[in-house]
Amino acid sequence: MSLSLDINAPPWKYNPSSWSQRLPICALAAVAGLIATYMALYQWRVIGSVWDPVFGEQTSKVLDSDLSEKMRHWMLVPDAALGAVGYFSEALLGLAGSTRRWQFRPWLVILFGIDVIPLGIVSVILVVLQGTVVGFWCFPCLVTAAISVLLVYWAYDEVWSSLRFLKQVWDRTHDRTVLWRTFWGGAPPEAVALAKELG
Amino acid sequence: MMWPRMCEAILGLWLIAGHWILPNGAGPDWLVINDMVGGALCIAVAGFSCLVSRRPVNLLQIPIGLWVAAAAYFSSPTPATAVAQSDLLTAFFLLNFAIIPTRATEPPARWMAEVDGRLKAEGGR
Repeated sequence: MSLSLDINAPPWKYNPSSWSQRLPICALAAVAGLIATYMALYQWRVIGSVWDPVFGEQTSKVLDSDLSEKMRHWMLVPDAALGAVGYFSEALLGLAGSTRRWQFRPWLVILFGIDVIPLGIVSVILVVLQGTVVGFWCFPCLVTAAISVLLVYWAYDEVWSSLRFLKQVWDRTHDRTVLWRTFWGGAPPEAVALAKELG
Repeated sequence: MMWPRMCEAILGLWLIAGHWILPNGAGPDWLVINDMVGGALCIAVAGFSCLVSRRPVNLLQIPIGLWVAAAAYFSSPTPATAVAQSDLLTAFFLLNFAIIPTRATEPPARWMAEVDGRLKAEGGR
């Protein structure tokens, strides 16, 4: 029996690796990346001002704050540019892999999760710092932070399915080599047998 | 679809061309040669990866990306020159692309064999 590329991933009644699930995540991450790029262009002074329909001038005060300058001093590039790299990275990792990557490439799905979840946490921390340390608010930053949190919510199901599959392989074999090979996209007979049970 | 390798080749071109587009200011002159070598290696690895698309040659981009990033980070004056910032961001993107397999949207070779049912047809391997 050959394997199908589009099957439901337990415990869900849908396939979290299907394009209909992943493309919206990639699109949303790309939108956040574009917003972050826009803010980075202001920090580079490629554009003279930054548009904020809610907090007005406060956004430029956040982007020019001492905290932002300190981060730029350490990292050499504006914090918004690093945020843009992070968001575009999420979009890229979302595009890679087949529609059964939760099983065929667990490393990719888990790396995707590692990218999405910390970026969501960092975004929330930066928003908290805006209000508490900087004392001003930045609407584009709030939008990107909201997108980050939404991405965590959307992405966790695929990561969970991958982890669940790896646990099933471990429970069945208790063999680290088999688990290691499965994680990196090898197809040990034990993992293949498990995959074939799903179709 | 070998889009990750095409994107890497574009990043390599940008590493080479960036010095004519962005100001290097007080940045060291050797960074120009460093970026050109890095960019050329990046393009070469991307091209070679396409030729042997089932092998993880693309991972060779990781040391190139790390080298470009480290050279830019440790050689740049403060505030960072435009070239140094460009190098850092290019290196981060390169590292991102480097981990994506060449046949990006296909299953790995061994799983692909199961998908195709080839193993069964061949009587197992």
